Amino acid sequence: MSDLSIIGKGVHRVDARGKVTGHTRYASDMRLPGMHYGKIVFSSHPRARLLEIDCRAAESMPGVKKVITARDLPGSNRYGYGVAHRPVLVAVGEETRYVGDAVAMIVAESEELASLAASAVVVRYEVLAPLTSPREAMQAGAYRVHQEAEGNRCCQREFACGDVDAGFRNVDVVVEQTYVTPRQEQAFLETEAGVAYEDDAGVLHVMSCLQDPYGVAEDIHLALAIPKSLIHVKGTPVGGGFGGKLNTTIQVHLAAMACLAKVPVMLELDREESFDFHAKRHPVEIRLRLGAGRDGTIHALDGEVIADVGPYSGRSAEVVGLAMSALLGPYRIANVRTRADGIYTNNLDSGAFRGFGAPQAAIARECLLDKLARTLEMDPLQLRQKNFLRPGDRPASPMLGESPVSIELLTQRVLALLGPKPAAPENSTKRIGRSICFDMPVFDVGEIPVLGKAGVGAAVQVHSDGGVTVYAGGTELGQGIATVVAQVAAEQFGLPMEQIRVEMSDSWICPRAGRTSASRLTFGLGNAVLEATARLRETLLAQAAKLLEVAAEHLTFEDSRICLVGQPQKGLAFAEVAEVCSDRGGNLREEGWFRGTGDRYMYGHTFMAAAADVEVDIATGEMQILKLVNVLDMGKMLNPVMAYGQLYGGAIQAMGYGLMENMVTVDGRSKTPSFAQYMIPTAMDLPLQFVAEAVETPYPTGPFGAKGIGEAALNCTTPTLFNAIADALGVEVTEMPVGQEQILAAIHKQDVQ
Amino acid sequence: MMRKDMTLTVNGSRHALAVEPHLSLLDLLREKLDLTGTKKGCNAGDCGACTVLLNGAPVNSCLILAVQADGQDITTIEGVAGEGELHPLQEAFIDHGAVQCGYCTPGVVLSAIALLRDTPQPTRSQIQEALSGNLCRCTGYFQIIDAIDAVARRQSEDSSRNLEKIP
Amino acid sequence: MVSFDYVRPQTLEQLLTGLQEARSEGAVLAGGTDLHVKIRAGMSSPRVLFDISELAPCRSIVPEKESLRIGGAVRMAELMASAAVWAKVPSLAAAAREMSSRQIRNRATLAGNIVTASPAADAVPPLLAADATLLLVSSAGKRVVPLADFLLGPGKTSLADGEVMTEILIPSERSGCCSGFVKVGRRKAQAISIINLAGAIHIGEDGIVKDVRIALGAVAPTAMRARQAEAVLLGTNPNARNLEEAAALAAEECNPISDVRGSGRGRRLLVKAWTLRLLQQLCDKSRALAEARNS
Repeated sequence: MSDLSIIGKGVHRVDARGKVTGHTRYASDMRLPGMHYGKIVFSSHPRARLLEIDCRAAESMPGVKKVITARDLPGSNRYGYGVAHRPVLVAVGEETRYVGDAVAMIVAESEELASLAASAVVVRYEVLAPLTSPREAMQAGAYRVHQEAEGNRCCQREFACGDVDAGFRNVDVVVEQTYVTPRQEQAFLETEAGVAYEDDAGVLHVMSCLQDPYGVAEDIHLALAIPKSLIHVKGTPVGGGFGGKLNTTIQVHLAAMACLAKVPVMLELDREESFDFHAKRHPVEIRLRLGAGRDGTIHALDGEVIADVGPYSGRSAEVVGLAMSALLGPYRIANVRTRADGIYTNNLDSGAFRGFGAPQAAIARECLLDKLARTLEMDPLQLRQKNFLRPGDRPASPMLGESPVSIELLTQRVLALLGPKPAAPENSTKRIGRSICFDMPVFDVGEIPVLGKAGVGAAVQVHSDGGVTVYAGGTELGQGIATVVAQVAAEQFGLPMEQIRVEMSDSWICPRAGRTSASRLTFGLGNAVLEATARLRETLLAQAAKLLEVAAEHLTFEDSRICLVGQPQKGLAFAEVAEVCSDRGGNLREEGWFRGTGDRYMYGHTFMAAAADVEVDIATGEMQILKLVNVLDMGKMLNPVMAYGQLYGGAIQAMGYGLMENMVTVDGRSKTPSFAQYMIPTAMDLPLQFVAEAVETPYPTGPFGAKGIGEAALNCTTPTLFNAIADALGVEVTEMPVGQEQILAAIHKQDVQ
Repeated sequence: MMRKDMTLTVNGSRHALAVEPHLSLLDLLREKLDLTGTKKGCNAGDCGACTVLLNGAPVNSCLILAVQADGQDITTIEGVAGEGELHPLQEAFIDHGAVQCGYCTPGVVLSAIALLRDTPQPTRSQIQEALSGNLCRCTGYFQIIDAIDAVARRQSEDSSRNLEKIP
Repeated sequence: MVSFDYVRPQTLEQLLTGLQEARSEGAVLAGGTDLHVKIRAGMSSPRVLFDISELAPCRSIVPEKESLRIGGAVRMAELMASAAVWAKVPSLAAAAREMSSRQIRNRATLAGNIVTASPAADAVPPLLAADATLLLVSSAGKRVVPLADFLLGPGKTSLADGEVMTEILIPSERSGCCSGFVKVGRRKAQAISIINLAGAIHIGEDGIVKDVRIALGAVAPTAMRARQAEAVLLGTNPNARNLEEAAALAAEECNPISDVRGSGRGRRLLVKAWTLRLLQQLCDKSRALAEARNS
């Protein structure tokens, strides 16, 4: 690969200026003439039958434009990814399934008046007993959250290879443990919001923070029977998504409000509503068993995952499937049996959250590996090294393909960055613990024949003045995709970033790009933009060749010019060639359509190492992370500043998941409905030192060799912290998240025993 | 409910308004003055996305009534950049990747401005403490701290250079 | 709909008259960091707010010979920055510094923290340890109430309608006394305390404990003094055994609930661990000071 001038550089984000000056308009910053305000009336109970809704008081209040109940809705009143069984509004006679189900909606002249009217809607419920755990829901005789789901089973996955029973018979040591992981909330700073209006031609326009404009259009169509060709969805700059805005959130409700009230409507959830409403990380119970020989070779793995799906299917089948397959990690194990069940309950909804099941699996896998090491009295790293996949190995899961195995390099780097283990201070109650964990994160490479993943399109337009616009249907969540696609175009044309404009996340203007999830957009959009720009390059080179009277293959794009290779003075300005091309009727707008070339359902995968040194005070339970190290094989960093941003952000989310975050529900209701009670790390909670490093083993089909990395950054840091604490204490802390109380309790229990 | 007359200086401009007593300063800025750079993250003082400078001090504007700010001086993110030029902190945020989704950014920038004005040479610990009221979910804070640290050090070099110039 | 009138009294008389007329429908507004949240959640619906944040009688920090008078509307940020507070009631300044966030500290007031009466209020244990009293004023007169008697339960105080807390009177720390504050939260900022405690110990030149205060928060319906723990140490020579005994007693005396932040059992473990740690630190500090004086 020749020298790259923009790819691989930490160029400024294309959207940074707007964001640092406060000029970027997010969904709730939009203002339309005649805009009204919507308010959703949510169910008062996780499970209740709706007996009666009386809207008369609300309807007669000043400034109220429309009060909507299920009866008023056109269409099926059902939508949703997975199974389309989510109601827009629960109807009289139907049962609610969680506190985030809606029973009515208000449209009024102001937010205040809408809230007032919402409180005036009188709803009579027959309160019913909610199912509050998967185990409860699985019992014979438990009520069915969905009639068609026997045993409240939403989904089930199984995988086996070799002979697990024989495998366990031929081992010297067996370890087993059950891990119960907390419910983690995405806690994006921007709550769900949007504006919608119907124009004179009957087209519905929805502008909202979301991660899948195409999925949203689909859901609006399904629920409200609006023809797809009359639905235009535009994703606004998202104030954080992390998967929580992947499913349709408030957009169907917003669309209904705009269409029925016949005015532009703004809808914004407050923080408590947001915490109740959107799908979060699945709490899971994982029972894992490993069998190994005395020499540390792992011969058998047996694992069971039970996931709390909550009220609706959504992304559960995929998350549960990935949680199951991630139990194997980057290890070669000959005999495997794994099974995962997603179970409906009336708890909060579960769905996509960065990692998508892999973080939960990593906790069970990496913690049990350390336990196995302790049982074998073997160094935990040596145990892992004995069992790592080797170069040339393909992982056992049929869902994964070829990818260079870079674990040895990661191991070298993580050890070098860690340095010697610090010694605990003399005569003190402080203890030092260390752990090194590994993961094999996956990412979508366009090889999944599923709606929203099968192909990624992008369009590129060269304007007659030499400016370029990239039309990319993915959404900018903060991860930097708008900048990445601009970088690819800039590199291809030899132009500075300032000359590239990006139009993102528009279901009409941008070719179908699928969802912003599965760490897939750099890979998919990057390749699509490469394809589109390749065709444009040909067109421009042909034109330049004619003008310069040379052969096109002697020309190159460099410094805003098209010139002879090695002779920059012999050429033309890019803008000049573009103008001539345009004048002479050349096509300066091309599309790229990226699709994996295989015929098999497949994810790409890469490797990651995380390590931590922690200091625990055994007298008080205080824990300080002295040093955290993350080394991730990124394939190729297209923008190092943004790539490291993903590592830092993911690591701190992982730290929060392990140490302080738990959206507790009791009887289906959240006990942590605000940022005061649901705690995410502040700037004061950081490790004393954090060293992140990228390793680059190019992925053959990735743009410039890039891999998908957004989720990888989160996966294995959490078990690293748990294992390091266990190393310091000499005892495992089995309750998550781990705070001072949990550490003291573990020490106390050990003392008492 | 009776509206109250009040005046407020926002980013150097004086406004005369009549507001309902229960209107928050945050809602005044966003809805009455169309200054939407200040964000509503929680409306309960827990996240810092609504941070503005009130007479120079960082506060959560969601927990202040507009009428409580009568006669006072407010700086929002829109007032930070000079004429056509970004504030050094804004430049540094862009350089260091301190901005991802950008929702916490206005509040963080204002907290940082107040910090550097009061403590021109903060340690990294002091930077962390000054940001403790601004939640960020995307960046993990590291690049934000780097950006503020870089500006502080550059300002220190500049000022010592200036000192050297004094004969 | 949230709706109220807003008044900014210019004098104490105006405030008291207004409060009396409003009876139970009036509320005092100082920092607003608790009140606005309560009003929005529907937990409080006053008809009129009286803003005292600029009211002179509530705004000063006045050092006196053996005490400190702090106006009710003095902000946490001002407490942290006050040399007088650090000199006379250092554990209060330390508590203010660990509270919440900068933005909140720039608004939240001392009286507000007391009147909200969260069992986990951070300013309360230092005041309780120092035997602080409160000056409550109404149009009917004044009364001085010990803080210990003022707090009645979670969210409950003996503040009567028409009353405002204009000042907090705190006996200052004697010279030779060592005090400290501990806050245990799930994270290092913006955390409601799982437990908090303030301690003070005064060890004489003979090595005997002349005075010891241990105040615990978030482990009972109101913050409390660990009297049994104090009794075990008073008049003794502090050593590893009796410090442990005191810590164990403190853990027994308190009455913590289980909530989303922690379990009752866990809180007792934390009280024991941190009472011991704080006492050890204060004893060490006290001995070091004594040695410095003797040398």
